[in-house]
Amino acid sequence: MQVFKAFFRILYKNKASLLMYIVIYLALAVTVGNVLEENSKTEFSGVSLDIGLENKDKGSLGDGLEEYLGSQNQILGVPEKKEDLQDAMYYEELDYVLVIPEDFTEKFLAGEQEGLLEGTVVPGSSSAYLVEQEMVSFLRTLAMYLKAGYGEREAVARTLKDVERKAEVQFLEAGDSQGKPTGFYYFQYIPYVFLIMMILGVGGCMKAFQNKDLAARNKCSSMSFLSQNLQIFLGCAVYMVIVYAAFLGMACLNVGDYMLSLRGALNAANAFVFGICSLSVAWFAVQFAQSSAMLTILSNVFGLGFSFLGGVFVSVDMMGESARNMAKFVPSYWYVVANEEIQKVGAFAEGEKVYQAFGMVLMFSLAFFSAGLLVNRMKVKSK
Amino acid sequence: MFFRLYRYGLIRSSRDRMMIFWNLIFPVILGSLFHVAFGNYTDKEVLFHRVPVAYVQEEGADGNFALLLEALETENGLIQVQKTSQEKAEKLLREGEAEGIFFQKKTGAGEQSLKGLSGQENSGISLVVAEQGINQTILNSILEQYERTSATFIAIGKEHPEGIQKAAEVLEGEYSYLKEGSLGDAASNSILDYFYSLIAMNCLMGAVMGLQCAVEFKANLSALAARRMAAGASRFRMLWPDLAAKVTLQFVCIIFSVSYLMFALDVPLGDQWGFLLLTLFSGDVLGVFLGFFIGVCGKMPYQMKEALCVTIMMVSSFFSGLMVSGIQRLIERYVPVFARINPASLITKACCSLNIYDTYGRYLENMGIMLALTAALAAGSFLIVRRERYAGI
Repeated sequence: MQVFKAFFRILYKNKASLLMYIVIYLALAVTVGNVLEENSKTEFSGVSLDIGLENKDKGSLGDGLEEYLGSQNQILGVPEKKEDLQDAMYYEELDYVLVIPEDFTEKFLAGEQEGLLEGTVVPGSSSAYLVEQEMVSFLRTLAMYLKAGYGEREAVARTLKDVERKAEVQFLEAGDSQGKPTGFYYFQYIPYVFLIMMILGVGGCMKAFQNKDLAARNKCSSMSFLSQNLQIFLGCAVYMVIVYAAFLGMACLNVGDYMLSLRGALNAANAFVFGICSLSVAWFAVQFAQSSAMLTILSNVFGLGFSFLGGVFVSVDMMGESARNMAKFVPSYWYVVANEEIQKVGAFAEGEKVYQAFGMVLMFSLAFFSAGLLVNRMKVKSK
Repeated sequence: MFFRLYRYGLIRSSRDRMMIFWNLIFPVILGSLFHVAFGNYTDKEVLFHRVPVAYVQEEGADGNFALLLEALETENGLIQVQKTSQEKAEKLLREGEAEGIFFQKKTGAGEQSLKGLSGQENSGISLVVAEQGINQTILNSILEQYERTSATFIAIGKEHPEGIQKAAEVLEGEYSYLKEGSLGDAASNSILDYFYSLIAMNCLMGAVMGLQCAVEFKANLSALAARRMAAGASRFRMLWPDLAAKVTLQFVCIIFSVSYLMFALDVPLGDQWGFLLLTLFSGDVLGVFLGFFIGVCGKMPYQMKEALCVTIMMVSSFFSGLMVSGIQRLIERYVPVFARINPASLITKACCSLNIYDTYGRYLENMGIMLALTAALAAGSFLIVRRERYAGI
């Protein structure tokens, strides 16, 4: 097994860059997982917006409106400088800015309805529509009570009581209300790191064996060509299994409970299937690499390209129609589909869509492996 | 002599294939990927579109809610209603064709008023959704508004029946309570930060070019520099054209990527061309001098210095928001000093401030710091290399 041993000796020399990617991945997956983990909700609570509110009103209606908006949203202060306000809205720290003027109560009681409040919005945004709808709902109810003959304070109290009423909202399926667990995010970014590690690791070793002088030397050795290739193949497979096992081990340390569940097992299978695919992509990519610098380029192009196009970093729902159609021709898209479908599965028998996605990823593996063989064959023939 | 060396400097650098890939092609690839991934973000996540909703009405159910939905569809343009059967509605919701389903059951008059007085579930209307988002919240708000109005009428009818007519008049009127101010179109597009960071990274890629200049200048770092040291001409007279060639080539690469973003991908980077070009040029010079400074400092091997350049470039770009949106804002809040001296953040903020603010205060502040940093790096570099002599290499 000399070739097999040599494979791992070369791999060991490249350990620094490979370890760097593991660290980057862990930092990314653990941070994002903890930040984005959604709490499981069984009831519809709606979206809570960040509203910058300045209440200058001298009467009680402004307080009532502030109390109402605060019951459903986060009320924050309004930055004093215009540039700070523009910053806050640009970075989406504020969805809406509302200023209740000094004479709001006075004018409202006098029957004035137009242009009583000052709002600053991101033009045409959904959050602006929602806040305006909530405000209009409150002010109309208030106006109804006032016109009907209620006093100022009583009208506010009645309105606040009425707006406490909640509509009956149900989720279509029980699973819809559940947030995504940390385990989901841990596995979400696997395609990026697997592709880069496979291309750099396998590519680095195979490049060494494809070195012109070394290849010529190996050809005249006593070991058969088939045996050499089988050992390289075995080396690639063992490397893939080691990388996979390392990530699975880290997953067990990070999200141990999740890994012991049915979804955890399916996620582990999904990652394994994608590991095979990454190996095929690496085999294909290495055919185009003439140097280690080229290998770095290819790992970035395939890693970032497949991750962005396949919806690993940003959900495919955000993409346009044509980009979404294009994404289906990328294996990472099917990995992401499986990852999302796994969250809806309650038993192994319910995972039809998950198994279909596995099948697609395996088909891509076969396609990339065949394409790699073809390119390799063409290169040999051209020599 | 200057122009001859400048010309050869340009030719030599443009033949470096790796430089061409990282400085010219990589930003184009990354920009295209950003465009594919975030191109529709503002349209899908920020801007309002009519909310498609399915409406299932049981036979004999009260028609008021249907009238309200019709008004919201035709007059307000808030929703898009599709009246259908329960099975079809659920299919629409599952396939994402509808954001929610309003189910209206038939309720008896007596039952309705009784439940109405007791509080909840009075109208027999429920909303079914598949997720919690802003569109679902808008639909929920419509239903709540309907139920609240019914409750208000019931309360007024019970306690002040004489005022019910006046209260009804309020509902008939169309009022615009808000006097709106807008921050301009660009304020809705924080995704632009990714593209600005990409441009900043492209500017800082000049660091590797600056490093090459330093390596070709210091006799203890390369054979070419040793040869130049022994030449009759002053080596500084050979350095200026070299630096100018690198700055020029890097600037051409940046202009190419920015033009690709603006004209091929339609990324709205602003229309203040002059100021944008000035920012790009300043960022380019800053990048080249950053690399030159690293190159002339210490005796580390070239690979080590190159790794240092790439690390500084990537870390700086990361904290300007290249990989995580909003990180720049966090750094600005918690480590303001770093945000003020981080080269990529300065370039990003300078470009961004041209688009957000209607004044030039923030832009000039960022440009000022950028120029001061460049001057400090240049002065530092020349202090290190001036009167440098080699007894042996």
